[in-house]
Amino acid sequence: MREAYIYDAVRTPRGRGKPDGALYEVPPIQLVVQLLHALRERNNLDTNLVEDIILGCLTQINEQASDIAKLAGQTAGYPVNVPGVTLDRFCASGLESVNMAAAYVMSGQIDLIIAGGVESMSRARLGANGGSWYTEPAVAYPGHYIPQGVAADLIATLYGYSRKDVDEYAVLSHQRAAAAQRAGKYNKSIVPVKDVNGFTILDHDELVRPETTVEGLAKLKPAFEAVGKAGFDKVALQRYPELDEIHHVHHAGNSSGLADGAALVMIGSAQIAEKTGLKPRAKIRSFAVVGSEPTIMLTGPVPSSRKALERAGLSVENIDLFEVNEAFAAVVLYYMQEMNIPIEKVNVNGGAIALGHPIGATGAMTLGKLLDELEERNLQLGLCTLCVGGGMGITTIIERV
Amino acid sequence: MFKYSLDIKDQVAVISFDHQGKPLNYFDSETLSLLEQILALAINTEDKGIILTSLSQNAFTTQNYEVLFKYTKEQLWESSKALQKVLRKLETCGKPVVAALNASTLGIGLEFALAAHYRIAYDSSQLQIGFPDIQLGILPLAGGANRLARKIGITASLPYLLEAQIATAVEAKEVGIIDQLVPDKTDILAAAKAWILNQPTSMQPWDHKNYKIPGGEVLSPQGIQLFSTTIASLRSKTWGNNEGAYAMLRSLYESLQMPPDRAFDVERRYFIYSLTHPNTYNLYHSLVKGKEKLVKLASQYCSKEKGSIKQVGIIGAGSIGASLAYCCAKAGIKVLLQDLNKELSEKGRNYTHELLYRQLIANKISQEKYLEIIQRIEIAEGYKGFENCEIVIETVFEEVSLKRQILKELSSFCSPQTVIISNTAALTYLELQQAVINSQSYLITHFFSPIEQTTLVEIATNDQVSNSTLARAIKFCQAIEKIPLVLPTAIPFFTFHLLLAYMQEGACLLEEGFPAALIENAAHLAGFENGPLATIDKFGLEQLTSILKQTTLNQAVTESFNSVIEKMYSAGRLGKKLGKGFYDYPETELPKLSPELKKLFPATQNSSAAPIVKQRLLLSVVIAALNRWNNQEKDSLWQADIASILGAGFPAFTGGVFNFVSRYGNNYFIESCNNLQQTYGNRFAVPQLFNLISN
Repeated sequence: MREAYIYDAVRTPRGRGKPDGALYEVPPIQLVVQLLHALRERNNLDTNLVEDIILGCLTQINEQASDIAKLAGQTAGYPVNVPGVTLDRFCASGLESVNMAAAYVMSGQIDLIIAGGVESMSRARLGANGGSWYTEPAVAYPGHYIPQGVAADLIATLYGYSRKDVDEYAVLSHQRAAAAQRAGKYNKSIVPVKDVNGFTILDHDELVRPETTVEGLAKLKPAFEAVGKAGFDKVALQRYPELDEIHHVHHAGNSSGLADGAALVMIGSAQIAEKTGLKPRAKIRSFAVVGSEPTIMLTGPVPSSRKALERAGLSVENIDLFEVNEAFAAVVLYYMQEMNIPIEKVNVNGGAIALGHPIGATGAMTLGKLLDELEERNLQLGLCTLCVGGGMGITTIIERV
Repeated sequence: MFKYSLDIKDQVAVISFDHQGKPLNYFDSETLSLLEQILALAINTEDKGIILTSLSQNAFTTQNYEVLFKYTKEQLWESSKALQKVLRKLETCGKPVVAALNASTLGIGLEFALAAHYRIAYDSSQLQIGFPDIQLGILPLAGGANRLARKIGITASLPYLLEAQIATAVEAKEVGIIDQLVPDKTDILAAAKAWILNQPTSMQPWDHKNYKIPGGEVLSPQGIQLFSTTIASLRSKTWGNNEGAYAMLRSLYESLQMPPDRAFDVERRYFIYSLTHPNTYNLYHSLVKGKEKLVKLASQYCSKEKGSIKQVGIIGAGSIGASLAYCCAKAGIKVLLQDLNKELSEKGRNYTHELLYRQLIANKISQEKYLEIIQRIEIAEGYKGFENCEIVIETVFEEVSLKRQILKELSSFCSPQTVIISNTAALTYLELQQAVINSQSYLITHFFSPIEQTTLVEIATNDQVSNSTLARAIKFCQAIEKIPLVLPTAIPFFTFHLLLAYMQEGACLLEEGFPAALIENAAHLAGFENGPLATIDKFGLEQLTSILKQTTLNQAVTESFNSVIEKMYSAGRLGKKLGKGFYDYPETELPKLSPELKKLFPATQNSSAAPIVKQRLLLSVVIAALNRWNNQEKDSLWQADIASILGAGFPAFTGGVFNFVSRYGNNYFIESCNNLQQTYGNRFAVPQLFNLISN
């Protein structure tokens, strides 16, 4: 089997995913187009070599519908022979694109491919595309569906994370993100989003709040208590009958924020380096995606990571840095506890609690962020994992070359 | 069955329903063809419109389901299609159709009414409207659910379609099921005629081109939100055990996205699915047939008993006494209530006060009614006035010596004709009976607390008790709307044995390290109304241990059970009455399992143990029933089934303890018992009676 190499990774800054966010005025396809331009320019890329574009995107309606990946390549001025495909694996979509791209390269069917994701949550409202998941009785009733926030609270209840535990983690995320921002650690990958005149609309992650404190967060009301009381708590108890109630600890301050953004990762074979003179930055060691219990939904990163580690012949101790998507604070706490890893190795530059979670893009963004920090610290192995709606987990392990 | 007549003066056709007191089988081919003929007649003549009305009290009510259980799925599909066509034809025939509802309109009757273009009823709280059979898991079959939801909106229709809520005529008018109310029954036909002569619409809203479901389509943002939360609340309320409501919700979601004709087909698919689901037959077997048979049996006992019960004496104003006083007063019976002192008696009467006050605030009763009922309860001093009571019931603490003392006093004070009753869950009959002078007029009841919320009462007698005593006791139970189950002499207190086995198993599980929440939740998941620990709380440790100590039952309980009781005693957690048992009972909030249990009973098992907990709880009750029901008549097993459901909270959808065994099969039962016996001991041995029911 061939190796799949990461040649470059770029992303837009993350805007607040609401109408008051900076990127609200930018149609999602423009986010991708500007990144495609950046990849071309940064790498002096002969775009004729690009054999496909894979983008993850959750809310594929309106302007995010109709295969936005193909339209983005075309609109960016890539040659007509560059196709595109858009996929949806919920929060894992961005990383799934990378893994699929790697699989194409590893199997020898493609030499150069661009993978990533896009999500404008300010323009395509979360949930606007519906789905039988939570609406159709024949699916949701036997499936014991509960909203993700209640699922995160269920994790906290089962594993005994208090409100203070999750709030403290959230504060850490903001502090780490703010420090990274100050140190310019994100600048390697960030491509500022510009308007038609070349004016910069946004050049930094908009959601980070360095001033966040545990005391401040303590004032926020649990966000999922009302919906839990309306019936979903009891649905959770029917799947986890050893509990007598669900403790609601999550709120907007310790959960990932709505965000707008896009990210791209350029992946290719060794031949591409020979052909173009580009230098690979890392290789994909292994990846895995698994299904997990759908009610609790967010515990998948543990089994997907174990699977990816096994496939790569590595143990947890071999990994230098982890990126565990901060969908909710409890997800990360649970992952660290189960995998037995120290907090010093996890999300060292903050995560989605501070930075936001543009669903379809996050996986690709986080992988780029991991690679940047491995280079910064001159470390070798990194693991990127995300919990996934509906009960899944995804993991990708990379190694610098 | 149906009659066609023509109002010649006004050129209005009248189709009258008349079933002569019997529920009709609308799937019968003769019935269907008669309906078709009459409809054709009404449509083809020069009439200006059609009135549907009823000539008898229950003509607009239920379909005969009994016969439908014998149909194959294919037969159900064909017959329901024919009926659906009739109703569809009615609403699309081009003539205005009005339903003149002069009687309660339930089930199939409501389906006809909804297929009309306009519904007129008279202003009465007696006139009921709804789909009661949904309780059994039997769904509307000819488009009724669709028409209701399309008429009043999905949200408004859900209580009627998922919970079988019944509306009075006034409520039905408020939500829009009924279009017009007239003051009196006799005005309906005239109003119906007037509506037709006014040249109204003859098209259903849902047949208009731009029709939208009021309040939002299924896949509108409102609809998505509605279905998502309804799915959760249905599961949350029913613990996933209501197949009928689940099928109804599926049917609504799928069919309401389509135009009527296709939608009605989908509705019928779910009707057939739900009617042929084993749970539906089980519910029918126990809650309809079983109840009917029990009521009939009770009536046979008291067919010769003349006269009604006017005054009842109650000794003991605790939870049972207070609740009984309320039921009597509500039923128009005067009550003399007595306890140790006036304060306690007042406290007992206060129970009625509180219940009535809540009804008054909710506008369920009038001020006059409130006063009338409360004034029926009089606080007695000593036994003064008890000589005028037809029945005297003592409901004092479960202690033989106390009860004997009271019985002694009572029987010397009351006249020999007075029926004296002890209410007890399980104390030994003879010991109590020997305390009364006239054992002919003494028997035992076992009411379930709170009485106003239950339907069953067990009656224990022996051969010394006179027929007229039993008859009068039964009359009394009927008067307060309870269904008496006269237990065979050899097996008094049947349900207590079931409850005891259930509570004991729950306590054993706790002692073995299963978390309290798991035990209670698994019980609900299995379909029990109350968890075993909540059941112990309800009895209270004092009552429970008192009963056990004074009977031979003490020998039957396990060490683990005793150990749990001891621990709870020393923790001062005696039960609901004292505000803390396994649960804490805060005054303003719902009961919660006490955090202290985690210290008293350290948990070692997790959620993967739920299936075994469910199985142990179910089988412990079934085995107790088999061991107890040593009556050799196979014909009496149905009584045990209904008693287990109504008295011991056994899951109704199983059809009762014995039906449960036949439903899952003998092999499953024997195998499960054997496995449990190996691990948990001989209390899970296959009982001897099993051979009787398994043949």
